[in-house]
Amino acid sequence: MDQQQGIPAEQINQLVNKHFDDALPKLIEILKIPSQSRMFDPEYLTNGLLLRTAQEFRDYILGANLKNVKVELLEDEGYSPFLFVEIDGSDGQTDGTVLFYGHMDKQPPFNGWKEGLSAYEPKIVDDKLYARGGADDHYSVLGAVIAIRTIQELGLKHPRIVMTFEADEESGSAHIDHYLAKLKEKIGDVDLVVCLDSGCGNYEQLWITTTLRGMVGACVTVKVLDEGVHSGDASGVVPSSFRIQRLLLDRIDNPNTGEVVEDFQVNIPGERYLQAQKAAEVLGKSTLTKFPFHGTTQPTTQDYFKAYLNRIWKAQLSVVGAEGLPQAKTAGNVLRPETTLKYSLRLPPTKDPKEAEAAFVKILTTNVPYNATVKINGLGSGSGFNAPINQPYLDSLIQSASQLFYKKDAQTLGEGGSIPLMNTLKEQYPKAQFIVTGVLGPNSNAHGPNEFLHIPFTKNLISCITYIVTGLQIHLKK
Amino acid sequence: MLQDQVQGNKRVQFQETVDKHFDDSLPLFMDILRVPSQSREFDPEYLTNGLLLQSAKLFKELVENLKLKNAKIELLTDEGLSPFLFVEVEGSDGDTDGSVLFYGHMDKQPPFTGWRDGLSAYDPKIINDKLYARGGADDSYSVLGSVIAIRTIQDLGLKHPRVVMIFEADEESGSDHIEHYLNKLKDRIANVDLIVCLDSGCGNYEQFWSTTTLRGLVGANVTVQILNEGVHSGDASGVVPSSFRIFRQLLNRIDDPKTGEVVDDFQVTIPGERYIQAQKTAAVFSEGLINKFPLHQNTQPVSADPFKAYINKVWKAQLAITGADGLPHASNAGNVLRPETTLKLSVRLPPTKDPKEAEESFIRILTTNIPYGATVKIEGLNSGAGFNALDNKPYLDKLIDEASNLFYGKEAVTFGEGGSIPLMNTLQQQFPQAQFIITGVLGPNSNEHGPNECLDLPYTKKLISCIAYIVSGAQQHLKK
Repeated sequence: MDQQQGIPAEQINQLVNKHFDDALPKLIEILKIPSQSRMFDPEYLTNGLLLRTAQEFRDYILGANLKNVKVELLEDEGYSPFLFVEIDGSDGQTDGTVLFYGHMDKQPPFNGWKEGLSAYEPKIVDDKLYARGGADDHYSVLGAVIAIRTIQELGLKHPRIVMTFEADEESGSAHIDHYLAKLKEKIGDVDLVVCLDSGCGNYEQLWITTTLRGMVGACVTVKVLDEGVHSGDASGVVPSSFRIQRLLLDRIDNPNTGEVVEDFQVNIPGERYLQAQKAAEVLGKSTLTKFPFHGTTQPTTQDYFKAYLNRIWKAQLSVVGAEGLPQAKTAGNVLRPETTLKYSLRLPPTKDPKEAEAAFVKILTTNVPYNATVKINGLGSGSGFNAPINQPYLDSLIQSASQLFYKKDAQTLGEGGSIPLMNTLKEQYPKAQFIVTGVLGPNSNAHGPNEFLHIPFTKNLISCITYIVTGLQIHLKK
Repeated sequence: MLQDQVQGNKRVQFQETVDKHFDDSLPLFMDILRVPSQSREFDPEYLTNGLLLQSAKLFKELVENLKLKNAKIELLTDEGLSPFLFVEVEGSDGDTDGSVLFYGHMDKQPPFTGWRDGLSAYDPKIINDKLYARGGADDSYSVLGSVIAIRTIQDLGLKHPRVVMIFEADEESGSDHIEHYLNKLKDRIANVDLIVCLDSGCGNYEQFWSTTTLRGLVGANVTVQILNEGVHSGDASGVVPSSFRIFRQLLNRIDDPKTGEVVDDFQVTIPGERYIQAQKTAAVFSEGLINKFPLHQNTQPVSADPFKAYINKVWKAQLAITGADGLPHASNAGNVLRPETTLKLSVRLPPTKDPKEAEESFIRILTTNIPYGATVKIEGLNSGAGFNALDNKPYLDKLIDEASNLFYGKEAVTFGEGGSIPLMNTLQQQFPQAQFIITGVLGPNSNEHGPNECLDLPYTKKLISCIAYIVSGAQQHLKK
């Protein structure tokens, strides 16, 4: 490997690999903890699982021999835990600041894990570490720490570093504002945000996420009766709550095409449209084929550019849960009193989430068919993200890193998912540049069964981060 | 005056006898209601947990305790089938007597949820003359009623025809076992001249109601599968078609979501005489037809017109979604694009719709040209015929009207039911000459299938008196 700008790429590679392998047993221990994020676990503050996870991560960082480091585990009353790390810059007062972000909380285990695999029994098969939370997002703590440790051990320079690892991301990051406000002074000014919670288009090059979707969602209940009644007696007289839900859903998207109404859409900015075409070329058919389609099921379109735009710039409606519907095999002939569906609506990156919330409520509660009662519970939204344009030196470092460690160009990516916090950080640090990246690539299956962390790709990614962070130290000086 | 006095005495005699036997039987009846059995379709362990059998044995005891004269009581428990209770009572005039067949069922719906404070499915309570428990009104009282009716006739020294009583335990699951038992007992049942079915409804608790039509039913668990496993919904939505959205398209092929109107494949032309009767009956019901339901807050019915509402529930097909699988609990559902959605579809059919044709249409509609080439699986497809009664002979209508006036002080009414008793069609085919009296106690707020199911005790007792009166009165007309 070449040495660019005096940065020893080969040594970075070796050291990162070593530190990762050494940390693996600890990571595996942490992955065994069956914690779930707040939204999925009403006992999340009392069962101690999330706290234990955070404590284990803190212990890992303390054991990593970082120089000039302060590690603090905050456990404010009624909040998920929060891990905060500060590392002095190599040049002290004149250094700019890089903020690393990741999260320690996990999605529920789901079901359908392949034989021999499970959510809380980590296993490495073919260089992939299978467990809930590995790729989303526990590796991020290791990644950030190993990057700085490697820079320090190689005697290279790095800017001032702050690391913020929250434990509420999967529940919408409702606690991070509190902690960021509390740590405002300590964090100080931030010049670059490195977010390690995103995806990659493949495992062959460095991917930088430039846009993320937003989201608005809620549990929507349609109630027609005070109690269930015999369906023979009532059907035809009492309107079906399920049928009314069908009508409400039709107000949000067209059932035949999946096209969501204009209230939730935006115009795609020109540069993003162009970047999307390039990315769609690189991703090729994989945009369509990456999913485990059943039988003869087809994607919504065969055109992979359209498909790519559908998932990164268009609003999309999913029904993710329900209540008031008994299990099919034991359901009797009852006209049920109510039907609850959990609506989850992805929003384009530049859609204002509060406007979307207002539209959501208005659409579902105005002129309700048959004057039925509609209740909206747990309404929540998160902003999408549209990254600021990078300074040329940063783009150059990113390209070099990808060439050095992957032997391929770096590529921009639009993500279909959300990291609502990115917009919060953009507003809080309006001058900051962003590197949003991650390991959620093909079949990594975050949120579903058989989630895995691609170990070789992750090591290369950490090497890239290491290279970039040391390379930009000189540019971030005050 | 004398006629009134005679009638008055008659009424008192019947009612006092019925009341006595009913009240004596009540403790054992309530024990039967305490058994937490469920019909086959809702309880995979129905043959192994012994609950249905336990109920059947208690029912047998109930019948035996009523000490009918010249009666044979048999509990059949054939292998792999629900139990079956069979009672034979010789006619007062022996060989020259015709036969009346009584029908009811011993199995129950699931308990459901939402019982009011202090009430529950398996802890029977009497409040304001109503007995609250799962299965009281639907249909455990039928055993009690049938036997008390005959015992009353015998106590009063009146005559009755030969009586056979068949009480099955699979009605709520579609009466799959009854043909086996009817076949087995074919010779012992022999010919049947009148069928009394005690599993239907009443429009109010103020007069005798005869059901002349019943709806049919076709239903199944339908699964739409698009993925082999769940995936991140941010990643996939827009590329992977949603199984729920595909379902919305499929349901739109069965009914119009705006109006609830089901497609013609499941409809019939309403016969003229039934249309006229429907207008008369709808007028008797008027708004009660709509008001009887506990609509929530400002919810409006599908139609405010009682006649339209009545036609909708008696002669039109209707789609209901009664259950689902593959949808996690809303409160902890993650952002996953789920691999499949299962919905339990239940389509009520008009009385004269051929259920097998309906099954074929159901399958064809849901499995042809599936959006996005998704996989559609249909499991547990089942159907039951509706029922359209023949006209009664004048003497029978007269007896029914006399009974209603005697015990309720009001004339008898006919009506169509929104629910199904698939067996009635089977019996009509097996005994094509038989007349039918289909009646019952499922009236306003009886809430069978839902929570707070209740049996109106005064109404039920009067109904039993009516049955006793009618069956006794019919004896001379049914002679061979």
